Amino acid sequence: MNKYLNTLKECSKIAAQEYKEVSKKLKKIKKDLTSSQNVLVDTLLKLDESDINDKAVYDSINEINNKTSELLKNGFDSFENSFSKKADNLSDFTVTLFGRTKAGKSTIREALTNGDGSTIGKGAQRTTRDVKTYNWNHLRIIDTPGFDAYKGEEDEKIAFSQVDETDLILFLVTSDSIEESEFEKLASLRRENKPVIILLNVLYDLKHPIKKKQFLKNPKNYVSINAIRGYLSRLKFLSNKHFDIQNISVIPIHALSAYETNNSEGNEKKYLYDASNFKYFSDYLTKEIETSGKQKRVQSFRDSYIFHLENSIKPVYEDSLRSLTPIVRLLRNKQFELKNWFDKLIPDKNDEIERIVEKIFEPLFNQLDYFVDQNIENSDFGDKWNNMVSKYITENKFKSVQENIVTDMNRYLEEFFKEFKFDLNLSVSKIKSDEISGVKKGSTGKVVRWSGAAVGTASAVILSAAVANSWNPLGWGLAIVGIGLGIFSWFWGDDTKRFNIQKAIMKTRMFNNLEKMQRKNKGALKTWFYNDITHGLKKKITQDLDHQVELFQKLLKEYSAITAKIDSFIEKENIELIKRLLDLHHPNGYESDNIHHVARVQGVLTKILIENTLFNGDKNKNDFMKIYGERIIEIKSSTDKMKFLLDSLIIDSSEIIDAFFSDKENKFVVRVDKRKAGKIYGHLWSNVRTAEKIIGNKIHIEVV
Amino acid sequence: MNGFKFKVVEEKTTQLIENINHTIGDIHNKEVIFIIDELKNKLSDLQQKIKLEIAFIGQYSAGKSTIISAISGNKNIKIGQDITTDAPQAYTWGNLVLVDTPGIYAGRPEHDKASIEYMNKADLLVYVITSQGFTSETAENFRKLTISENRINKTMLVINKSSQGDKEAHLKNWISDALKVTEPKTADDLFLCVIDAKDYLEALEIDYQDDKNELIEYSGFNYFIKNLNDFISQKGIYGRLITPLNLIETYLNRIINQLTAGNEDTKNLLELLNRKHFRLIESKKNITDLVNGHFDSVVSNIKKEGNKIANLIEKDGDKEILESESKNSIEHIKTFTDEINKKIEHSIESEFSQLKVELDILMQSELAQTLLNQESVKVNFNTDIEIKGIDTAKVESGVDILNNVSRFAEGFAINKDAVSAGAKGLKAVSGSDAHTVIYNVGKFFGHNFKPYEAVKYADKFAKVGSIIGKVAIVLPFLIAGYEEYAESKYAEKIKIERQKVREAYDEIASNIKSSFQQQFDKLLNESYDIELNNTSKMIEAIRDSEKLKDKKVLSIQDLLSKSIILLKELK
Repeated sequence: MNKYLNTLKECSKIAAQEYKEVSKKLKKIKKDLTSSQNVLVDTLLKLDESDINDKAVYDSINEINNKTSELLKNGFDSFENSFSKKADNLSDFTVTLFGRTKAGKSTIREALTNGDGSTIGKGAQRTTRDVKTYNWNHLRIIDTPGFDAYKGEEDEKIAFSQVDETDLILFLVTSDSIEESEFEKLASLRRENKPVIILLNVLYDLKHPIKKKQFLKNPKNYVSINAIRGYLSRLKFLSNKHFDIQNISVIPIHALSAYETNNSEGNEKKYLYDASNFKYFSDYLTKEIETSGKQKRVQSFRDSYIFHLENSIKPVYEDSLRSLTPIVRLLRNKQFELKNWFDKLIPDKNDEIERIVEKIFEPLFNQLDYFVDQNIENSDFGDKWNNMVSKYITENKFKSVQENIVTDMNRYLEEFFKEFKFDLNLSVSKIKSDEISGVKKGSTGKVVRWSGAAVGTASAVILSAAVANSWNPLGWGLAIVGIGLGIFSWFWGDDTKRFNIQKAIMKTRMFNNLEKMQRKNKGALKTWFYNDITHGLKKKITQDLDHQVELFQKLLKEYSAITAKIDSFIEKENIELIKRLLDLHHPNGYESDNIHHVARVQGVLTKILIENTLFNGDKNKNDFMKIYGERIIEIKSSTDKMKFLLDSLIIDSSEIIDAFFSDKENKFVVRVDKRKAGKIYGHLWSNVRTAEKIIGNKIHIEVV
Repeated sequence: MNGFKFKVVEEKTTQLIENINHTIGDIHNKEVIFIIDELKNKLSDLQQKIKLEIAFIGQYSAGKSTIISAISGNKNIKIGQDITTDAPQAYTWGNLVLVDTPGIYAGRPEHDKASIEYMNKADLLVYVITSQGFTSETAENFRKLTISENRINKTMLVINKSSQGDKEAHLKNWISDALKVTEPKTADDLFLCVIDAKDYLEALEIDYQDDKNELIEYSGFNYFIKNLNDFISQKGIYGRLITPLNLIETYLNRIINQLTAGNEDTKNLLELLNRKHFRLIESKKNITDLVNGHFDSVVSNIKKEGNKIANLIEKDGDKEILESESKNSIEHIKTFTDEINKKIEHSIESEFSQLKVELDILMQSELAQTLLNQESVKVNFNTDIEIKGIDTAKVESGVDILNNVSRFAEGFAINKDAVSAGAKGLKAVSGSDAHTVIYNVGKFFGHNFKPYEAVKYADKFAKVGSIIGKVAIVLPFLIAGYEEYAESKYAEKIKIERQKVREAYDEIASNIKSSFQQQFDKLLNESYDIELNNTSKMIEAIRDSEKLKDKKVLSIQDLLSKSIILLKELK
């Protein structure tokens, strides 16, 4: 008992120390990330504020970043909220009882606190709806509302909010049946790598005399290994499926007996107490705390810190990156399409202006000779020619040249915008469906404890509004601007009076005048086209869009840099946690300075890149892993790239078809048989994810 | 409800099955046919069934096997703590068949399928839960399987394992918790009873008669047997009538799902085709404008030549100069026309390569890649739905195009033989074989786009010599009577002659232009027009088949609601 109490005392000390240290870290990283978030837009937009003439560009970037800031704030709020709860109970070792409704949590509490049974439910669902805290055996026990009740979502939320304070999870299941949904919840509770003991409550009522008589014939039978073999195999199946715990601790109990012990006497009392198996349970817990209580306290702080970095903070950037990337790619493609079109349009339309003006003048040139032949001797020669010219050369004809050009462009731009909107929607819907069906769901099961997952979608939707506006041709002001008048100034002048001039000279003169007029008109149209389209519209559109795309790319770069930074923080914390636990594990010191890398999927698997080993033999390592709660793999680096790859994946060459490095895609490709794929992926892709971190390269598993 | 009403429902069901056979009979989609066959087999199985079939449904470990063992006295039934029953097992007991099913939603999807199958097949259902009650998930499942899917009227609810708790004190709560889930059905509706089948079996082993009786009494099992008998006698005939309707509901839903699968992909494919169509139209317009510009310049230059020659006809003009100049002018026209010919070729080439660039960009687009990169292509054109009285020819030609797009693309401009050969082979290709279609869409869009084949036509443009020959600019007056005209100062006459020359050149111009035009039309026809036509046919075919599909889905939905109405009538 002394050892137990001493351990608990030390636990309190460690907790105070850890609390101080981790809250310092939390403050620092919050300040760090928040300030880098604040300067982000400033640096992005300040650089070339003068060039930003399209407000939408500014708005879309700003909106996305504001959303990110808001999410970051939410992330830190949930982070701090969970952390502050720990502050209130630094001196207590906290054990929390979770389980589905009617599993017997209240019965256990009444048994442990010698209660009168008044809080034990009468067979109805949701008997305990509040969190109740009591002390037992110098521990702080939290009793949570049962989950899985019909229409009991609220209870579930209350129960889950208790996990942060917990040093040890007691997970109560019953001999009635062990449901998939219960394990989904346990898996979610396990994501902070909290230690778990499963209590299997054997349901057997003692009220009816016949039943009690049957029970007391051989009470210990009901909690023996033999009696629960079937449940164990079910538990093994489920824990394998939902998390990689190889040796899960299961303690069968009969909670009702433990409670009834309080009301009975003599032999019956002894029988009932034996049948409850509570002594075994209590001894087990005592020993567990004696051997690893201190480590569990360290982990409560450190793992929770790491968990929040990974799940409340990192997704803010990671999800934004994931959803912005395809959209920026789309913008770039569209930008290219538009540029390609303009590059062809400008020379084409200049040629067209030439052609069409020539076509307008063509009948005059063509009839010039004939006209002179026919009319040279008439006194109204000049007026007639004037009439002829004004019949063919009208302002409307040039206007319609403009109109046609603008109509052509509008038709294309409208189609372009229509396609743009369609593609944008396609990208957004893809992001959404990835969100629903993708990794997210796989890694968290049905229970998502911390929001942040919706970031991607949210920002994508914001994007589609702001971006679509700036890409809308309606806003580009494509309209016909009349060409300057006065080009059609009359040119006949004095020649009318001098009809006696030689016909040949007259013809040349008239011809030259026509040419001059034609040239002037071409020039006017080309000037219009240059000013309004080439220089005006094209420059405006492409500049704005180039600018927008460039800013988006910068934003992506920043986000990915921040993600990488958070990743390196997480790794640093993981290394520190392991060292801290090793300090407690090896009182006589150990070699720890050569840890190169730690890659971890919390609650599942840890890989350590190291030259030698942190442990004295297998037993020492196994003991450590049992306390730590995850499988640990030590990996030695190797100059042989392929060996290093396979070592990181914990497989040997006989288990794969082949493996190679693809220079083109800059990643390793490992081809495996379908049957081996599951093993190579690992639970929640943990094996591949950690191997990628260890070797510092992407790995693509190709299933054959 | 009386016997007469049963008869009516039975007749209506028979009628409904006939209608269904009629409506779905002409669907030729492979997957749908598979579902239809299954439905038909199941329905005919039902008709051959003699004994009443009762399926025991519930979570794993709810005690289904124990209950059947207790009813039938069959001790060979496997009972256990973990998942014990892997496949439905039928036990004959007198006039009944009791079916033990694997537990549902225990993380074994294959078990769920087998159990739900039996929910459709069996005449009656006994849904077993335990005194722990429904969880939020099992409650949703129960509501879905019985209430939403209309099986509640052939369902009995049993709460087993009463010995897990204080029966006397808890009974009320167990029942009220369960009834919250079964709402609006009451305990009487569901023949609800609370039992402990294991206790009953254990009691049978007890030697001391009083204890034995007491435990049997406590197990509630005899009351359960009585309830079960009532349930069978009251609902047996309902069950017989409901079961085919349940089957119909399930399978019609599956058919509708199959028919509407891939709508998103169809939408995307249509968008892709529309984009191609737009680009072809734009390109055609461009090239037409450009080439017409060249035609105009040919015409205007020839006319200029005409004017030049006409101007030589003058009072003191030189006959020889006129003759040689007119010969020269023909040479000019030839040279000039050749040059324009080259320019036209060049314009066509550059427009074609621009079009190819645009189609390539289109093929690289997210949209096209989304369609092409799908691992399992779900595009379900359902072009193989044939419905009498509707213009199937159009749809079929659409199918041709869908299935043979690659042929069209390979022989972009000319290869008509390939087109018809492809069409002949179409029957061999299943219309629903969307893989082929999508694969071919890739080819359709430029990978095999060979516009240069079409440029060959440019060579054949304007055989200038022969055209000029036909026009015959003989300049007769110059040879025969020039001097006469010159000296007689018939200026008027000169004017007329000049105009004649101009007209002759005009005719050359218009002949050359129309020859060009003819060639160009041929080019357009065999490049753009074929391609445009194919594309619009494809678009139209997809739209038509979508319409047909929608129509089919609507009529199946109609049948579905009829079957649901029948189910409601049975209440």
